[in-house]
Amino acid sequence: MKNERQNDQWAGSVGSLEELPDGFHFNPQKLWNELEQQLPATAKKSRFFYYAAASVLIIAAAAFFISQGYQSEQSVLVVAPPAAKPTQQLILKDRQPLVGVKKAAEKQQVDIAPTKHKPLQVISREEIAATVPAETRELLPDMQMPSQAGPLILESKPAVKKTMVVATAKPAPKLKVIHLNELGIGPKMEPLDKPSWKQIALQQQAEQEEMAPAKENIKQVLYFKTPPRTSTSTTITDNH
Amino acid sequence: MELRQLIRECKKNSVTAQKWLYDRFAVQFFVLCRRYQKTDAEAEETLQNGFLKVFQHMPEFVYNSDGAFVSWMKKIMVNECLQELRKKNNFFLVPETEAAEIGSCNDAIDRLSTQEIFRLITQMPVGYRTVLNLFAIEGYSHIEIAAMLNISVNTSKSQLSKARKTLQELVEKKYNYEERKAK
Repeated sequence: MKNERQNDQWAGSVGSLEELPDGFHFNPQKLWNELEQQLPATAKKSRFFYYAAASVLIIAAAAFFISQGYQSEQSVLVVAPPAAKPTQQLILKDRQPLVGVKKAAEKQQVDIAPTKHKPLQVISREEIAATVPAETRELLPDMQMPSQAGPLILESKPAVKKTMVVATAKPAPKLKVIHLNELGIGPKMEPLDKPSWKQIALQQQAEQEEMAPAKENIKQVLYFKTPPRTSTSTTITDNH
Repeated sequence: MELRQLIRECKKNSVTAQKWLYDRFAVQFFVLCRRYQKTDAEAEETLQNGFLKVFQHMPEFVYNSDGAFVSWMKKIMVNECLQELRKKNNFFLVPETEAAEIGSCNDAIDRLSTQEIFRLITQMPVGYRTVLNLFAIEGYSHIEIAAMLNISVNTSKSQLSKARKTLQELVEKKYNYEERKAK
């Protein structure tokens, strides 16, 4: 009887002991880490599946963006620049953006003429004498300064020899290319023969070929190339 | 999280649910394993194997109540402990004639706290404490213990009587030591 009572007492107390008495050591986290490695792999598989799916998505997105950048670059190369016509064209000319105001494009009519230089008006001395103004003030607004680089067209009458006063542009001096050896400055260099020139040229070409593709690849992989602006590509030619 | 929901998730092999279940019962079952095993390391190993079996056999378990689930897990842990003990020890070689020498228990044991009883049980020899655990704490009969440990009923009884006697001696030793210390 006494033993039975004691058994019941122990079953209630010792059997349901949920705290570890002093002097005993148990590390639940460490044991769980070991236990987790031995658990069935189904849960781990699903986690692996999520990681794999995420990585595939990232790779696909990266490939898409890179290909987009490449295609835009290709399309720019295909488009031919518009031929300049000697007519009036409607072009977009960007204004300078103001602070706090949106940049707006405005349509303007601009002369895009292929002839850059207007023919100069030729006046003979007789004509000048006939139309000499009383005062020089009247002459000044009509006077035209010749263009510097333009060709001069003369309307001359071969039958009558008259001296003409013509405003001409000073021709640009032609400079002769002289080698240093001709001047005698610096060390005298012996002229290279043909095979050595060829060798140097081949070396330079090989170096350029080595450098060029690597540069392009780096750009293609690392950067997303933005397509160039085609709308503002037409520049206003100098009409002066 | 409710235990029922936890079991449902564990059946789907959810690691999170398994961790929850482990956190909830790890210490309780470590104490159980430690009552059977000699060292903390052995108890940890048994606990790990026990939880593995719990998770593996979870789909076979049909939920009735929380108590039934805890009893089911406890049974798995006890079986795991016995299996480990069978591997390492050959501890039931006591002659059946000694079963008559069963002594009665001292009242001094009743005055001990739960933690002190636990500590004394872990100090007992393996064979004694196994039968004492199974009979006095887990509530198995001698016939069941005999079947579980593959021994005769008389051997089980003699082991229990020796266990009680050893426990009594340990309690006396403890009190004597404390008296001497007080003097």
